[in-house]
Amino acid sequence: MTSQYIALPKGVSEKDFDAAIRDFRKILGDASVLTSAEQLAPYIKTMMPVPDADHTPSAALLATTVEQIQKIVAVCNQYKVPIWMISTGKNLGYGSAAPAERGQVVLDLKRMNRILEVDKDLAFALVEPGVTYQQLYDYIKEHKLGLWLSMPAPSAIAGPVGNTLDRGVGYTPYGEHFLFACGMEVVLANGEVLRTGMGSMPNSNTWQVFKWGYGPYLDGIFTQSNYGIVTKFGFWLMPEPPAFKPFVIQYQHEEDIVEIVETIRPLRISGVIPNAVVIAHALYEAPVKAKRSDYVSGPGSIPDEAVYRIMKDHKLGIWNVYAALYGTQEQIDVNWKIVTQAFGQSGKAKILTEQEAADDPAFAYRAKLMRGEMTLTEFSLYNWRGGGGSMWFAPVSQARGSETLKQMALTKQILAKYGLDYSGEFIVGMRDMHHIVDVLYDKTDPEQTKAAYQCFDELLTEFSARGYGTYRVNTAFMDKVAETYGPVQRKVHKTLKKALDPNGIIAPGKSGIR
Amino acid sequence: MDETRRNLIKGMLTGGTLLVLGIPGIVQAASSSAVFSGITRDCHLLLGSTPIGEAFATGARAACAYYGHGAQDSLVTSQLGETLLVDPQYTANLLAQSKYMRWIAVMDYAHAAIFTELVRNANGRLLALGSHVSASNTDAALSLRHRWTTASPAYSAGGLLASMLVQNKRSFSIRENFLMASSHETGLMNALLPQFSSYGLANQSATHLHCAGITLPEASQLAGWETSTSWDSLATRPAASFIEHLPLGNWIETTGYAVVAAALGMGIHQEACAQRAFVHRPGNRNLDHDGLAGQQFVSFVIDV
Repeated sequence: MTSQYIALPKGVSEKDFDAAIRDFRKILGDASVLTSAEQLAPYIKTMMPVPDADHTPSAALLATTVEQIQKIVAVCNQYKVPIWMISTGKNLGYGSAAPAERGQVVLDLKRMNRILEVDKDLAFALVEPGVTYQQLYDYIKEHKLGLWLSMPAPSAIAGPVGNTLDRGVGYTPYGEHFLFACGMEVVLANGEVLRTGMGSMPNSNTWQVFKWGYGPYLDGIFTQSNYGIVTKFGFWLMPEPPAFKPFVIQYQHEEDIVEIVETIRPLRISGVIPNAVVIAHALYEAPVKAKRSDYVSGPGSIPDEAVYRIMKDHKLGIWNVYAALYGTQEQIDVNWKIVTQAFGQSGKAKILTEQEAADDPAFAYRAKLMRGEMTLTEFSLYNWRGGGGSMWFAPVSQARGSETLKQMALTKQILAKYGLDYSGEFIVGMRDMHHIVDVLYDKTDPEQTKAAYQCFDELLTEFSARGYGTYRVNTAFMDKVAETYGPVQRKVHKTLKKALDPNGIIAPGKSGIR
Repeated sequence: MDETRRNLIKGMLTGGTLLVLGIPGIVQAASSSAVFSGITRDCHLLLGSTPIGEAFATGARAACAYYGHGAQDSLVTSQLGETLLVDPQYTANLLAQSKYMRWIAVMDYAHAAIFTELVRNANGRLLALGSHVSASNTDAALSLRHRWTTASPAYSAGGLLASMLVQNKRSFSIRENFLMASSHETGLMNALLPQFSSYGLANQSATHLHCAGITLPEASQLAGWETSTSWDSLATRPAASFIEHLPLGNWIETTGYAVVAAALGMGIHQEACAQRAFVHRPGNRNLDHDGLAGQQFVSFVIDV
């Protein structure tokens, strides 16, 4: 007999699943329980080099209240049905909205989209998971609150809850998003509702201003994890500075990354350059301005000679350092002098300000991101190879020039072995670098898809062998990355999982935790 | 936050959006329509950012004229251009406003990544999502690759496209994955396209491979299975010929034709299976080079 579902959760009979679906419908209403192929298809598309069938959900639930979620987890516990939570579901290149495992029920929280509070004086926000950056941006503008957001490149269509919970980054001084998180509300697997930090205390008004509360700090265990369902989330916003000065510094040789990082690190640690600076390779910026097929055809990675032609034709450096100064004009003037002196020493750097580069589309979108404005320009990356394949490879590096050069060279070498291009950038943290590489491939080409899978696998293997850990990964490789962090951490993660979610109903497989 | 006011503003904006795009009000819309599950839906073509939009539209209008209500201009066409990257809310409003419509959309991969998200946010029903690539390398094993994820075989365009491309002597692979073979499709018979040899995956008869001009192991590999995959010959019956001599100039127009014919519910060359592929390589591959090498785009068929 043919199933009426496009997939079933692992180990759950169709009879039990039927019963669970009936109960979900009682809680949410028929229209908010999606089971047809047409309704679920938008949740299935991923950019990973594995069959979409591996990540096909059995259903999707559109919840709107905490009480509904409490009832949903009760049903899940009863029938051992696993759920996979998404907020806005924009984890593009990391698995998108699709669950980690076939048959999981997507708990889609997009309709929980209330902005609960934005405090102008204390500069914080408290929001539900479905709130998008665009929604919050509009709210702040509409109410003239004078606050800035920090957001990742999918800006307008993504949201702060999902991005921060996956420990994503932005490009303003508040770019390391989880550093600025303050207070969560979490529905636990047993249906209880936990408010972290000061939120646990009745009548407290410091939930969004003091992170730590009393006793062990818990917020961290609800990021990149499956220990609970975050239903409210507090975070700090940046007061709009009186002045803002974005700039780009271009270098012409790949080995110049050493000088760039050695120059930036002290400026970043001392706060002269306060934002999450980006050091973008020419091939990361090229899709905004150029078409790959205009420079190369045929198999294999793009040759260096073609990259240099792109740089020449489109006024790019091989490295393009995007940074900004924030503060009063006086502060900016002082810091600009320090920056230009530091970068001017070797004579290799070409420094461009908004006056010189405003018309450049790459600079324009980077400047927008550095002041927390919406732009989706970075999506141009998906046209570089075409074919719809993309995986973010995201190892962490010390903010040390020699380390970044080593990582870049190793990444480029492994990508080239599989005929893929190095579309990479470094996002500068306080003392670390997020090395972000978009592994782009043509998913319509079975050979290239196979090569992309093998390439990504080798990248993870080779990097971990050298002690380079990956900070975030797509759902197809979560187990592999979890393995690289050693058995003790995995055991602790499992112990916590068993204690908080004994039936394993919340997102099994997330970060390799079951 | 005043949600009522937000929704009111959104409603006002979306009305404006539709008018700006040249789309008449839903009630007055006179366009080609498709009937599925007892609901009649007006079909509209949405051209996003891609240089192939007009070629796709040419094929789409031809299909509309052939299978729809006669006139080529009965397919209302809207130009999205770059608005998805610049202002995604514009498209989100468009989808929110267009109830009981069937959208056929075509765009590049950058815009498609965003559009997919907007479709999900709008609770759209995604009937078919196609990825269409012409190899930029003239030495490629096959010049064209089409990959579809389709809700069910009822929305399949691959068979029709294969029958047209094979007449044009193009080399191609078409791979379709169906999320569900629902009961009303189980009556579909395996229909043999005369140029192809047909096979079913051994021990998994819901997977079909049709190949022509190429060995079975090579076809298997080019469609995404291993060369060592074991196939059994598939019992088929001759298919009726649906193809007239259409004045379609290139593979993009042909793809537009097939996508829209399927969206209109013509049900041509469909099979009851979970996945299938067509692989064709003609003797004279010089015919592949029609000046459109390297073109690629994504097609959507959605109901909102």
